[in-house]
Amino acid sequence: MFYFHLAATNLRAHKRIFVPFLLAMTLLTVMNVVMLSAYMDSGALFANNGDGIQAAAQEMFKYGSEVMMIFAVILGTYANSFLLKQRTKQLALYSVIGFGKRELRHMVSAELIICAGISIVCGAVFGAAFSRLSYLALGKMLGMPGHAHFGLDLKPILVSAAVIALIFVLLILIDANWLRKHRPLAMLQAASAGEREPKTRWLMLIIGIITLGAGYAAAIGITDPLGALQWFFIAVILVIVGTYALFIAGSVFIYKLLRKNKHYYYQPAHFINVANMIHRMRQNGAGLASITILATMTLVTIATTITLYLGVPQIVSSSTPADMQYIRATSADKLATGKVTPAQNQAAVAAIAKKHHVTITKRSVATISTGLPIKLGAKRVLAASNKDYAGTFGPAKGLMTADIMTLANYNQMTGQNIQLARSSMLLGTNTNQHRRQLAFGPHVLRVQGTARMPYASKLGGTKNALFVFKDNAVITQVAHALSAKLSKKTLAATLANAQTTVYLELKGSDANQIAMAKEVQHAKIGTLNVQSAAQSRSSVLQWMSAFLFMGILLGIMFILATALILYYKQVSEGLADAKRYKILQQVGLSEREVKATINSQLLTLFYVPLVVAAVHTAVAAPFIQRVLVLFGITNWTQFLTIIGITLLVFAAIYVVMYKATARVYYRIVR
Amino acid sequence: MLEITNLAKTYHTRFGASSVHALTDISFGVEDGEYVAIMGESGSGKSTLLNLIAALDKPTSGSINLNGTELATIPEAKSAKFRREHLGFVFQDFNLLDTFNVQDNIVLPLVLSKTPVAEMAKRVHELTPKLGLDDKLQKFPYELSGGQQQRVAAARALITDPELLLADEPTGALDSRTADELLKLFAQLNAEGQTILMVTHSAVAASHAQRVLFIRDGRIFHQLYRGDLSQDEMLVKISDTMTAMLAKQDDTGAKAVD
Repeated sequence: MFYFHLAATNLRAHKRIFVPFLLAMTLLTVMNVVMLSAYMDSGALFANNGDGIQAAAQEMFKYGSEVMMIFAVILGTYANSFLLKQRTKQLALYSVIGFGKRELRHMVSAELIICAGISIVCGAVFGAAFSRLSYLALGKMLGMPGHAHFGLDLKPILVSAAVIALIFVLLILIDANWLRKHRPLAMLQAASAGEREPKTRWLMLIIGIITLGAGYAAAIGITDPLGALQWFFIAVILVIVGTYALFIAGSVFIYKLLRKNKHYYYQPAHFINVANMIHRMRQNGAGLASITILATMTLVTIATTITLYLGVPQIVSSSTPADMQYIRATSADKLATGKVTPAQNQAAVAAIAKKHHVTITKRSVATISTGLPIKLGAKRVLAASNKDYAGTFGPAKGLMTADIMTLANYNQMTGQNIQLARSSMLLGTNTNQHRRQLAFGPHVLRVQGTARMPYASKLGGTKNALFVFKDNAVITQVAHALSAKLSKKTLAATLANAQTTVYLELKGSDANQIAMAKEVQHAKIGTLNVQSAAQSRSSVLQWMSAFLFMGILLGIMFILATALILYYKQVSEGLADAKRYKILQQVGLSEREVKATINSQLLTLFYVPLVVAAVHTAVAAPFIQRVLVLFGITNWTQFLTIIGITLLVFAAIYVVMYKATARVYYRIVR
Repeated sequence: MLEITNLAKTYHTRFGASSVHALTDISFGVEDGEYVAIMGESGSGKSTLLNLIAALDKPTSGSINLNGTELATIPEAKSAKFRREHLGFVFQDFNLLDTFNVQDNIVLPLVLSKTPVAEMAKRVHELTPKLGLDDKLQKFPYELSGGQQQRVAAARALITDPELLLADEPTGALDSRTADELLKLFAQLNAEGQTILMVTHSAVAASHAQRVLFIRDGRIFHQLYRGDLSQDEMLVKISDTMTAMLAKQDDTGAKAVD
């Protein structure tokens, strides 16, 4: 009990370092409660969606919760190590008055137990409140459906409490180990002995340049969406490693270069700063790099999720180009399921549409004989191999899926009456490419015109082509020429089973369109695999709003971490610099000059992470855009605008956090 | 060169409830080329006096005049510049900046005065051999012994060629051998014409000076001229004065009890 009493006194006496620690641990608890609530309630949140999306959403929130927990561990230990460092003097005092290691350990443990109690209780209460609030406000605003318990459930709170309690157990063990290894009294003497000038770490510098260069090169050089997706995480890791290495080693290197330039260095404004920075960067390079990475993560996460959320219409139109499509299985088709005729099918669908107050504005019917993965060259077409897809820098250029259609089916689809010779073809692509003639093995065909693709998906990640040939005989010949593996026999079987798909453009409310789609699917009128854009819009919207919800939560977390690191950095630097500025004043620096020096130093430390984060984000932007193309978002300017706005908002928040923490610094230095 | 008349400094507690008279009434002068030591126990007001002369603090009343400049007339913004250009400081705990090497610590006041780089190099080149620092310019403070660090601090104080060198307990953190070396250095500097004002409570340190002022309870209690005395004889005289001063203190203490 004695130790708890003592610990409580300590907490009160050292508010300046304990309050932010408690705040951080409480907020970590809150964020864990929110994330876990989202995870455990994701079933209810996505009740209206298919099993696949429910599972995926659950997976995503699970991933989010895990990220939160890892973050809590990292930030918790970071804050704790800061706490220890700042308290060396106090612990030394206790050992002077006769506290042994055991007593110190008891005292520190008691402090942490009190902190754990406060953080967990406050975290649970605020966590529940914030969960409920974030669900009601954000969730509803974003159109997240369902009647979730969100924030009313006990389970997420208990799990978060357990996680935070475990982190505190870890901290108690870390502190005990620290006390076992160090003698606070000796540490105190060592701290006042001055520190050695940091050496330029050449190896780290070189590693930093290489990794950052490689990360940037990957981001800029990989122009293919699938390749971008493959390389994204590797590039992220390269850039993170590079940032840390360059902040730690590169900054010392640059400041040492500046010091060598005597006319620059021996200026009142530069003199003190350059020397301070060389020493400072060793302690702070890692802190600054962390701030940079967190800022970049915030920017990227929030900008990307907002873009996805706002891009829902684009995503839907690229995956479901028409308002509704289904595979026709009437008596005229190979996949016939009953005796329904195409006319009956059309009439039945129209009747269902009418019943649901939906008007069909356009209808196209496409019969695609087969699809082949190909490489479209300038003059020839080659069959794509597995190797083309698995290239180091993503799939090979010109790789696309070619839909192959007979002229008869094409004329039927477009209502035209085009004539083709056996040696001619029509070519259509969704990438707007044109050729005069194309060679398929030994067969050279003249491209007579551009094939229209009224049904084609605009999904940017997959390039599509449409080849129209005179008849099945030409198709067989050409396909066999492309790949000897495609025997004429299998080709014939495939061609005989060509599917017919009906594409409908509709007018009517989303709810009505969804109801219509459901009925079309279930009525026995020769329809298979009905897809509705309205249905997909609704599920994509839920999916993306979940993304955005998580993006914002993670963003808040990253910002919190940034604030915490900023604060601790200011306090520890303020304590280290206080003596320096006092000496400078005695030697003949006026208070105003001291303040100007501090300002310029703080501003450098303030701007550098923000500027580097902006550069990282700018380099990542085209890269992310390429990944977004896979979702069907091809609107560059929109993405850039969102990134710009996010950057501005983040910069504003950062300035506020900086101002608040700089005040602490000034107060200490004074 | 330095003329101090009727100097007083009173500190008030935060709400003005009570006040402490650090200095009550101090008057003395320092001649060009003189080496003056000010002695007194802790709390006698000697550090306050030094802070006032250094324009780090403002007196409650009285005046300090350095070579014709009344310190009270220097505006706040210019006082740092004045300090830099006219005074040199040596402190008990050296007060070197650990982020600078020896050379940069020495030229610090020159950089603040925007001295050209060539001029700086010239002055460092002239001054450092005298202090035995010419081979240590690239070292950092943590690599030096206490005596060496104090010599760096002295070099920093002398690099501006100050009219007055102020030393606050300069031997306080040194062992007796290095303290002796430093005091010899001060004596040598004084012999070359440097005016020095040193505050100390060490009789040995004070015995190197030409004149010793004794401060007690914010007043000048006594002063001793060295004249032709050897350093040891001076030390004896100082010790006697200290004993007398302490005896009187006991007297007043006893009176207070009465």
